[in-house]
Amino acid sequence: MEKNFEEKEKRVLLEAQHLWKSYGEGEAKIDALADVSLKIYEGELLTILGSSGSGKSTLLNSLGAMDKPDKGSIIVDNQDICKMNDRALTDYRKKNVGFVFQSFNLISELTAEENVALTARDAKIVKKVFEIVGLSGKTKSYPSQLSGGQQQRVSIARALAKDPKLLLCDEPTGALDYETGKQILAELEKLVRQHGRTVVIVTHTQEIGKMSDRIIKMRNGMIKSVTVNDQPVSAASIEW
Amino acid sequence: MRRMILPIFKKYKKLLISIMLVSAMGCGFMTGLSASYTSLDVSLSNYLDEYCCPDAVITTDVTSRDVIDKLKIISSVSEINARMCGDTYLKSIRARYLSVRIFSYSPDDKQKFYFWERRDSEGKDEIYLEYNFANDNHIKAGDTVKVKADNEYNEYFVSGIVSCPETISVQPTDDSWGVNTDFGYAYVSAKLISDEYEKKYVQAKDKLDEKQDELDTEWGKAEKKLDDAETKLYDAKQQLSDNQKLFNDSAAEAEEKLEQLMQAELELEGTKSDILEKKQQLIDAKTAIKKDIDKLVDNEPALRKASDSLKQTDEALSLLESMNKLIKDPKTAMLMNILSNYPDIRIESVMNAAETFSEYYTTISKYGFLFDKSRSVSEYANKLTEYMDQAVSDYRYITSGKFDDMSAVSDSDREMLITIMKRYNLYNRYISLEENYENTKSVLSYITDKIDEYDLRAIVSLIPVISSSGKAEDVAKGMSDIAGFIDTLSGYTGKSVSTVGDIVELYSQSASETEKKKSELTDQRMKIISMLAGYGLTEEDIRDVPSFINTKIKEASDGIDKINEGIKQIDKELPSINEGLQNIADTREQILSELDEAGEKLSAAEKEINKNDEKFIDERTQALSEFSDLKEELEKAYIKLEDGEGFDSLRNQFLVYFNDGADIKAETEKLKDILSADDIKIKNSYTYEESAVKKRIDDNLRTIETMSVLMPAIFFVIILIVVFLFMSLVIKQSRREIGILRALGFSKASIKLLFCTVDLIVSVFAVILGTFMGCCLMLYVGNYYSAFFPLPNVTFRINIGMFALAAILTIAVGQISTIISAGSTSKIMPSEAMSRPAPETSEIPKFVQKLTAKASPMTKFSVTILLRNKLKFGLSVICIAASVMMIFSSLAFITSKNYLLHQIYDERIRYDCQIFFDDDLDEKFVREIKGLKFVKDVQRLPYYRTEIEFDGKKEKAVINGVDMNTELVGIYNKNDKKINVPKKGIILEKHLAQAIGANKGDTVKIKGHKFRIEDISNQCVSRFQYMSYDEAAKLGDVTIGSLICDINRADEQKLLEFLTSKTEKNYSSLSSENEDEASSAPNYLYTVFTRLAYEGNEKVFRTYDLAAWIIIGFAVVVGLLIVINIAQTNLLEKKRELCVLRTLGFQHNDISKKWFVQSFLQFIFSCIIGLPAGMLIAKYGLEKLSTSTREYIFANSINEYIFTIILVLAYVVISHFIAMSSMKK
Repeated sequence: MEKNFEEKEKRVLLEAQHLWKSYGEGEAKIDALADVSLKIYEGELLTILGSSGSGKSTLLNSLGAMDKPDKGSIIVDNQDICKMNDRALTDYRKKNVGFVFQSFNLISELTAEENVALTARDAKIVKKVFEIVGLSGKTKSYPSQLSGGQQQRVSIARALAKDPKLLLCDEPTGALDYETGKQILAELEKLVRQHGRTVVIVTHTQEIGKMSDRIIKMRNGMIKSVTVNDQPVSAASIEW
Repeated sequence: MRRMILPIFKKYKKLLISIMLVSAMGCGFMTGLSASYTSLDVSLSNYLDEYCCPDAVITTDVTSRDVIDKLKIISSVSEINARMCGDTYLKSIRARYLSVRIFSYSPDDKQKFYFWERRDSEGKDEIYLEYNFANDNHIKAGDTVKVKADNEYNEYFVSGIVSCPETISVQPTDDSWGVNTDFGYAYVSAKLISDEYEKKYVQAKDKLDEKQDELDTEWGKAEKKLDDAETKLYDAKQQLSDNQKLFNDSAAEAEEKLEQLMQAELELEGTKSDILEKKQQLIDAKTAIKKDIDKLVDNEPALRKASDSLKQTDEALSLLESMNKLIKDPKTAMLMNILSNYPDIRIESVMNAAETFSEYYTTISKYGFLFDKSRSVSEYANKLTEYMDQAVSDYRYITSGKFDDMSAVSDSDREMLITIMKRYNLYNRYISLEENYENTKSVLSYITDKIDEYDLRAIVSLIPVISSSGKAEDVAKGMSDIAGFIDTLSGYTGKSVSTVGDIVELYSQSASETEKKKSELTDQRMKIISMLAGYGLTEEDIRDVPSFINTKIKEASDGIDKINEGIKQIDKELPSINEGLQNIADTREQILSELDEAGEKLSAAEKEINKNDEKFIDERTQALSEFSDLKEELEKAYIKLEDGEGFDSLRNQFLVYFNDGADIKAETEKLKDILSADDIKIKNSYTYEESAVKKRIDDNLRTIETMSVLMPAIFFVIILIVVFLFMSLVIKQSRREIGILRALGFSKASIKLLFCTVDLIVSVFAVILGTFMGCCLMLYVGNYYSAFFPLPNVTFRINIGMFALAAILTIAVGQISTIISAGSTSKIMPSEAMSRPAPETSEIPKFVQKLTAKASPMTKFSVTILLRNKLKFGLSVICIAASVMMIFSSLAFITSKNYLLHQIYDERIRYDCQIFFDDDLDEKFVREIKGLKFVKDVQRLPYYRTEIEFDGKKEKAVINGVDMNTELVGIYNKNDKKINVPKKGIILEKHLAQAIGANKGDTVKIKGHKFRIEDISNQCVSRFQYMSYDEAAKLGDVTIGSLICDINRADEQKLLEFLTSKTEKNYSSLSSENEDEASSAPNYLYTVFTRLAYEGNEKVFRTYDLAAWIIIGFAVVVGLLIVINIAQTNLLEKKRELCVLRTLGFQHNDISKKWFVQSFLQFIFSCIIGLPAGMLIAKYGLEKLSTSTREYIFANSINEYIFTIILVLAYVVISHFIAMSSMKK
């Protein structure tokens, strides 16, 4: 799996071009995205940094087809997802994208396993992804019975269960304590480094960028810089 | 995805249960109501089938088994039964007289009964009473009732309380204004009626045949008698007519005669008057004559003298004149010339000649043989001369001696002699010739002598001279004149003359002297005449005075005689005139008397004829009356055959059951034709489809069907709103989950499907529960219907179609609500869905801003939240409004129903009982009842069934005559204000007034009388018109009389006993000697106890109440669920904000109070919408329930509003606090 990931390293998984997205009208209009263009390569760990309101979450939602930019295009497999209809978008989400939310967004009425099973094709996968996230013993627990970290792991497991090409994580540590956050980051790192997945982490924690292959900094809806990190550190070594 | 279903159930269990409950209710109502309607419909048809409601009923004058057998042959006929029915009165042990229609039944008939109650009759005469009738009148099986038949009451044992097709759904639905049909139905064994009836039928038929024969015979006799009388009368009339004609002719003639008589009378009267006048004139003339005569006699001497003088003068003059004339006459001169030739002829000869000639002339004229008178004088003279010569010659011949000796006479002489004798007509052959000769000789001798004696030849020669005319008679006269001349001349001169010569001389001498003398004498004469003239006399008068006087006297005497004669004549004529007049009078009298007599005779004849005519008419009348009596008797026999005997107006009916698929109408017509051909009179006929039963059932079924469709429709609309609202709440609250799922790659459709699945599960449960509820409702309503109709049992039939429809509708409502709600939510992008929804920032209306300007920030917050969630607010308002509507309409219904009862039994009917009589009651009887100690008040209430006309429109109406100051009858106008009965005019009922288009102040016409409409009344039940007694009395005889009484309930029995005693007295007195009493006292028919009627009605109404309270309960439960859920949703949505407020130090109670503003506003708006809607629904429902004689007036007192408001407010408050308390945790 590692080898495969390496092979795909240079291949562009997704290319966003001139994305625009705004909220509100008139004077209250805020450009959440202003002419944002970027590429995401297969098997890379990309961190998008920015302060609150910089447009990073909007960018992430747009990339995950959870929101539609006002303008621009997002090319995946030579297809512009911005031009896709709802059915195609849903399909794109279902097949290509996994989400990890800051607030986990687990369905509280379902057990961890059930939550994961929502997206899994079969039970084996569920088991596997629980193994991946190291939560095999908690599959029958309800989210409310799990800690934040565990819930986030379930969330990751749910995302992984459908074997997405792209894992989008919105402040995955935001709702977690430091240690748990570190563990989650390690999990994500593992997914990229060991399992060859492409992970995009949106965070306002600068340090997380150190573990990623590229770092995009955003401010006021625009990309201020794109830094390639040739020597990413392990998640365990970073501190914030 | 299916994994999501359970979590959703877990999370939204309350809402979903609410949805399920509401849906179940809707489904339940629909299935229940429709099933109960279907069950009712099926049960009714089953019942009608099972208890064999006939396909057609034909009412005829007679029924007989032969006919039934004959009709049974028709292939389409499955069964035919005959029965009798009639109206009569029934008296129960409680002494109540009740109108009842009795039907006969027989065990072998297809007519079956459902027995609600049954008792063994133990061989007594049985009667079955209809359930409602028995129930309403508290009669039970085992009671004994009396049934009126032929003015007698026979006892019957009530062995069964039954339900029967005829009485299904008996409702007071008489169309005519103000009439409650209050009929009961009862069945008596056909045997009881028909055995006796058949016996009587046979008797009556025999009697009828006998009567018919008798009638035929009598009619024949009567007809003959009538014919004879008529012929006789006709002849008499003809005769009379002829006589009349004759009389008329006579009368005309008499009239003419009378006219003539009158004319004659007039003439006679005139003549009489003339005669009398003439008589008077004659008398006057007589007097005058007498006077003249006297005068004449007195003057006689003088007259004599004068007369003498005049005579003398005249004589002298005459002489002179004659002389003169003679002298001057040329003839005289000529004569004198001639005479002068014969101066020697003696005057004497001349005179003789003249005389002789005259004689001769006379002689020859006498004999006529000498000459023809016509010959001229000269011829005559010549002839005469010739004859004279002949005569002389003949005389000479015969005297010549030749004939002295006749025997010697030669034949020629003889011949000659005979010729001579023949010449003088002296030859007569029977006398001897000698004698003839002697005679002839003497004649010829005479002639010859005379010729010589008178110188006839000379005189004859004078003849042509003296007579110029040449006629012999003139000759004679001339000869006389000559003689007279000579005589005169000689006399005048006084000289003697002897010859003609003397005369000629004298003539020549005296010619001159005569003239002179004449003049003297003329003068003298003139003097005398003038003197006479002085006396008024003419010379004629005095020529011979005595003669004159005598003449005069004689004349006078003659005149007097004539006058006397005239008078006499007159006197003689007068009696005849008088007699004539008398005759006329008599004639007239006679004519008139004859006329009178004829007239009298005619009149007598006419009288006689009239008398005969009258007699004839009498005879005819008598004959006809005899015939009519017979006919009447026959009619009666018929009537008895028609109606039977026993009950009044008993009707014979054939009950026909046809085979399936038969064209009932056509087949019924065929049967009627067969019956008609058999001389059976068809009185009427109807098929089941046309029957009143069918109509009543259909009417009621239609109303129930309408309600069965309308009610579920309303419920479903409410349910749609509620489910939609609840589902939108569920989906809205699942927004985050939807977002996650969408983020996880679930499609919108799959999300919709998820919620639809959830809803489907809810709906399925709702359908199951609803079906169960529906079944319960069906049982309840079905049982209610069974009592209402009344049906002995209801075959509960679940209408699969309706159940399926209800299930589909329930599911569809849920699915539609879900799809709509989920559709909008799932459209949102996942990122948006997962984030907190953007707060509503729409503008708050300015007036709200103004209103809340001074309110606390918390209140503003509450109101703002409410207004910014318009949809939720609107839906909540609609749901609560629906609840308000249902509660209010149900309450309004209860109030209206109570108002109706109150109107009937407290306001309009303020009396405890009403007693009916067949006629109006006199004051004495009323006073008698009023005098009873236990009677608090009583008054007459006569009924007049008639027609009211206005502007050409007519309507049937019942008019009540009431006491003007009545306290027992309440009459109210449309403003619910009590009206007093006016002294004059009428109070018209609202619907009737509308029907004829009349208004207050207009004048209506009733039975030819005009009445002003003094007011328009509003009546919930019946349609009575009111008038004062005096006004009502103008309408003539009452249709039915009644008394209304106010008494204590405990005393009812006493009143009944009193009335019963009166009734029995009346009935017994019918056959008593005291007929006046019997006829004056009206018959007591029956009594209606208003309290019993009230109780009966209230019993029915209580079921209405229950239905209304169920609806109210449903409305409250639904409302409560909605309000709680909405409130909780609102609170949940704003949990964060509320928690923030709590962190800011707001107390829970403060927040709760402020938050209540939302609920309160919802409540206010709901009331604004719900109350009018409820009012409309209630009005519509009440209108549907109303019949022509029972109107549910929408009664909306403030209480319903208050109660509704309090109830809704209560559950709004409760739900608010429930919601808030959950939030407190």
